[in-house]
Amino acid sequence: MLSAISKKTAEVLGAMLVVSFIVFLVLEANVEDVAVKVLGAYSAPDQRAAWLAENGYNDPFLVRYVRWLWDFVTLDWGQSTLFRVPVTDVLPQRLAATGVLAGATLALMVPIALVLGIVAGMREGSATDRSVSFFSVLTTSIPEFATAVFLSAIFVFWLGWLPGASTMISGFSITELILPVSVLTLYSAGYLARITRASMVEAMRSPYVRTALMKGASTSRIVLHHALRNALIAPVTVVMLQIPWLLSGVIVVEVFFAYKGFGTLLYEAALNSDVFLIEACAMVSVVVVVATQLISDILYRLLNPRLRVAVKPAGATA
Amino acid sequence: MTHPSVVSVQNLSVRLPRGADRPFAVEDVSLDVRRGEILCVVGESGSGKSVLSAAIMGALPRGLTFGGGSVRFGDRDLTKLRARDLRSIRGNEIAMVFQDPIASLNPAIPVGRQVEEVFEIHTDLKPEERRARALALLESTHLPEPARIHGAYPHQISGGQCQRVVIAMALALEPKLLIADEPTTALDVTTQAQILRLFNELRGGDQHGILFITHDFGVVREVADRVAVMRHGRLVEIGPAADVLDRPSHDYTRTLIASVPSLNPPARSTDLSAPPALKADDLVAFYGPVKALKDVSVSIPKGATLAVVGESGSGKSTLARTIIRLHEPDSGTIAVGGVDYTALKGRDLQARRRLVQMIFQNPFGSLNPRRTVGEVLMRAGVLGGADAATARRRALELLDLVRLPREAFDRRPDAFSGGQRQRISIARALAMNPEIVIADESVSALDVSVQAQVLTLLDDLQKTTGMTMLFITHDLRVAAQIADHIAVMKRGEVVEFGLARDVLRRPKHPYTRELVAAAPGQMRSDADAAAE
Amino acid sequence: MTAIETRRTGLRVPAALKSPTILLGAVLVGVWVFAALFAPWIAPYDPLQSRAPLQLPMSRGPDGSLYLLGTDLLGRDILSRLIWGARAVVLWAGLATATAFAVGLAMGLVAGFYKGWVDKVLSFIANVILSFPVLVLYILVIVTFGASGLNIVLAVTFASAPGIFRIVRALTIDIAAQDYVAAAIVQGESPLRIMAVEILPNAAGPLIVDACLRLGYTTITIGVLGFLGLGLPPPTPDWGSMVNDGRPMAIAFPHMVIFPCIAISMMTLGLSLVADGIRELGLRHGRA
Repeated sequence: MLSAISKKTAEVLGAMLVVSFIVFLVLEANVEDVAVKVLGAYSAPDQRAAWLAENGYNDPFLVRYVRWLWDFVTLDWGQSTLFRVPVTDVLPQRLAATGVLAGATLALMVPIALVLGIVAGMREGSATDRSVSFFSVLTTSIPEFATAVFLSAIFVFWLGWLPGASTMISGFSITELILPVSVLTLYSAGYLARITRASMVEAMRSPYVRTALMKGASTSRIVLHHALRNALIAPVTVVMLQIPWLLSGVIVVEVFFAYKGFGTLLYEAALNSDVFLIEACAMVSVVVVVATQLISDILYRLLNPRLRVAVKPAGATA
Repeated sequence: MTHPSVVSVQNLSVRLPRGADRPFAVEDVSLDVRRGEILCVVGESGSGKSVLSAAIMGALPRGLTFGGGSVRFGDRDLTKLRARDLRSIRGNEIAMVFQDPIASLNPAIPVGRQVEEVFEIHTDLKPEERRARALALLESTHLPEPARIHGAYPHQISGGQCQRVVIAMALALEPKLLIADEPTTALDVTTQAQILRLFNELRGGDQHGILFITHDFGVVREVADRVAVMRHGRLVEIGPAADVLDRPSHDYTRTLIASVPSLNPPARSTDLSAPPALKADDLVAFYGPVKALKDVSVSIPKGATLAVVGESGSGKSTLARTIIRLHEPDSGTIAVGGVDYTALKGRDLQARRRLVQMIFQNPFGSLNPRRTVGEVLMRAGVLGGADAATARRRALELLDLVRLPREAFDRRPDAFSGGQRQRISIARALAMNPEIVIADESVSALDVSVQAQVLTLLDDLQKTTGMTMLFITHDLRVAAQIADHIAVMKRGEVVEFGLARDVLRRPKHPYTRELVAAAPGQMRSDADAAAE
Repeated sequence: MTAIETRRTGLRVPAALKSPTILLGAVLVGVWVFAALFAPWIAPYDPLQSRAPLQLPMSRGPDGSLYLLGTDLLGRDILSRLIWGARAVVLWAGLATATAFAVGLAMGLVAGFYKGWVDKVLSFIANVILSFPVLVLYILVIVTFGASGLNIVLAVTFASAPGIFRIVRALTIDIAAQDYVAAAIVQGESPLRIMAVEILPNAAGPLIVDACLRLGYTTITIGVLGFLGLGLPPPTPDWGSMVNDGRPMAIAFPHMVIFPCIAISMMTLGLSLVADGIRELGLRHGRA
């Protein structure tokens, strides 16, 4: 099992290396462009040339890449042209703010989705099952910004219960968190509920559940002792894989509600061609994705008794 | 015969959902299971035997409903009990053993805990008592190292061991009735023999009756006190084993028993001095990290049949797939009609592929569901070198040859039964005019009566076309019926090779002897031998 | 010889029409496809013409013309913009999904059929791309190459082809393990024909379902990019951009953002329902 995990880790690190190269290639292959973005469109040509020379931009591309990668690893992420401070000064607090948003979403979404999925999957084809399925299709089909508009129309415009923006200017506020978290929860709960349901249905149809039934086990025992143990493996790993997906939703929701998090930071950086900030944001999001993939893989192995032992069945590769 | 009955099924009918091919899955069936006996219910697929066992447990599959009659168990009618009362009976007074032992156990719970669960559900025993009882039960089913097995997960022990655990679980509360639904079908022959021995031991106790569902008359012969034969949901006949098996009163039973292949090879007139059509030498092949073939050499004279027999994991299927180049050997040579088949590559190989053709095991996976039978047969003919018109004519002839109606030409595979699909597969293989036909467990998924028909068909085709056949099977009885030579494989090696009758009557290798002894239905072959 | 059963299975159009899920989905999508096809004839006004600013829904402008869904900040008729916007969505979402599918399908078939190093290389490329959160990838591509319909096609292809690749690869591996594929190989059939005739038709069910879902995602993507101001360049009436334009005044005039949101939700929900319905039909027939 350890060798499988280290193999996965190596694979994931390899992917990250390639991604970092692509990011660098896209954003810094054209040095003139970098100079314009850093010094502004009205800078003089000799000023740019001097800046390029001073910052080692006349070196060969690969040398610059290796140096850039090393700087990234050692947390020397450059200066933000938009905020005029080191990137490392703005990024962590924004990331923390997004962490709060994502954490609240997961804390709400995971229990809701699991319960819905389990209840639906326990009795395949029942009215509950159908309603849950329809709910998940409905919520996952509507884009986040549309959900945000609809919820705002009801709770901000019509009922006037909640604030329409989540700037948190006057400090942390729970009420300002309600709408963004609801939008993200609605959008992501449906998917997890579906996965849980499918997994539960499969478990309930399995021969071992029939064995339990024939032992005289009660419905609650069958669900809690037999089905859930096997049915929860897939959803738990899927939760991890949903985090990167949540990251995309976070950008939209943060922009919509003007929440000062990682999403708006990336968005502002992109709109203002803040090269180093874009690079840092891109790399951080890749680290998040890759870390969740890795954790998901490890969780799957830990939860699945068939993979917990070192022996792999013959023919089972990848 | 004096024992009282533990369960009494009276005029039981089970209704199928609307739109099924018949109104009842089980129709007007009456039978008793008596204390101290094993009653075998035999039937082919679709006979309703498994629905019958589910009905007795009060657990009909979704969509099926009781359509009359009763299942009397003590003073209760199991078809009318409420869920709560059924629960208190299941696992306690009636217990069940299933077909696929590994899948029947929860993969996430150690098997010992699963045995203990029966006590947890039905008794107030303390944890340590439960554990002690579970260990004793594992011991009583002859599991080695009960303590180790107790803590093992199902995937960590063998299929046979899993089945012993399931049996231990079923016996936990000394039920009055034990229902076993095809309990040995998923197991290897030698394991099957051991489990059948265990069932024979269980009968001795006198405390319970056993209802044993099976499709295999060989198995029936090994364990049955009484036999019930079912067909299309109805009971054809029921009576003491000796009567039903040796003096069947019903035509259907007679046909079924006659279809069971015997271990005695019939006389064959194949010319075994012909030059080899296929010669494989020192084949070595890996299947993942496992060395599946260890220097295997076989040779088949032109027009003859070689049966390769072995249990799961013996490498027999890898041998077939290697010879036909679906699996690449690591070393060794294969010569087909003098051509070095191993040396062919790319387009050369594609062009010579027609020389060796295959009939696959699973009739439901070997035909593309999207293509009509005609398209499949014609394409095979065209690839074999014929033009479209010839291929079409030949396809229709082949349908005649494998005894399918010509209307089959425009149908897709889902219109056919398993046996019919195997005929189509045979026609597809023959459409290429192959030198060698490999049949990889080609009859093992079929019911006995269909199996017998397909075997006869293959034998006839060999006589008319002169094809050479490599027949892979796990069933020595089938091999006995079709082969000139038999090769016995174990763990990637051929441990014995010889004329079919020599291998079967005077096996030299201890493993062959074990296999021959394990083949179910020995009593009959003894009788046959005496009659000869 | 027993008679051949006459039962037939398979997905046919009449069967699909009996499913209420598919029917509802098709209606939701159909409305906008119809609007896209016949925009010049059914749109009441020119979508780019400034007529009367900030008219409420169902109101009449100073010149007496009726604005069913009101007008926007610049006085353009919202209904007309939605109808013309449907064209942009249907065209670009369709095109982008089709290209992504073509790429993912070809790669997935090859990787799943040949396995070995081809599969390793292609799978690694897919993993690399999937290491980006989708939206970050879109933002990077659009910011670097500029916002245009073709760049959206490029970005969507780049971002969703790996997902399609994975599905096709898994299906191919599954189907390639079937004996009928082995039979074709043994007959000396060419790899290309095996992929086209033996494998692809048997993967069609799940792939159609996936295509419907992808089309929905792409519609969402184009909407989100428009919402972020990175969508089709103005003045193209694009639903996402309409939400973005109307946002500053949304508290006072919510109709400017609500109607485009309803339009896009109808479209994506419709596609999901169709996908769901087809999947259910497939399951009932023991396929997909």
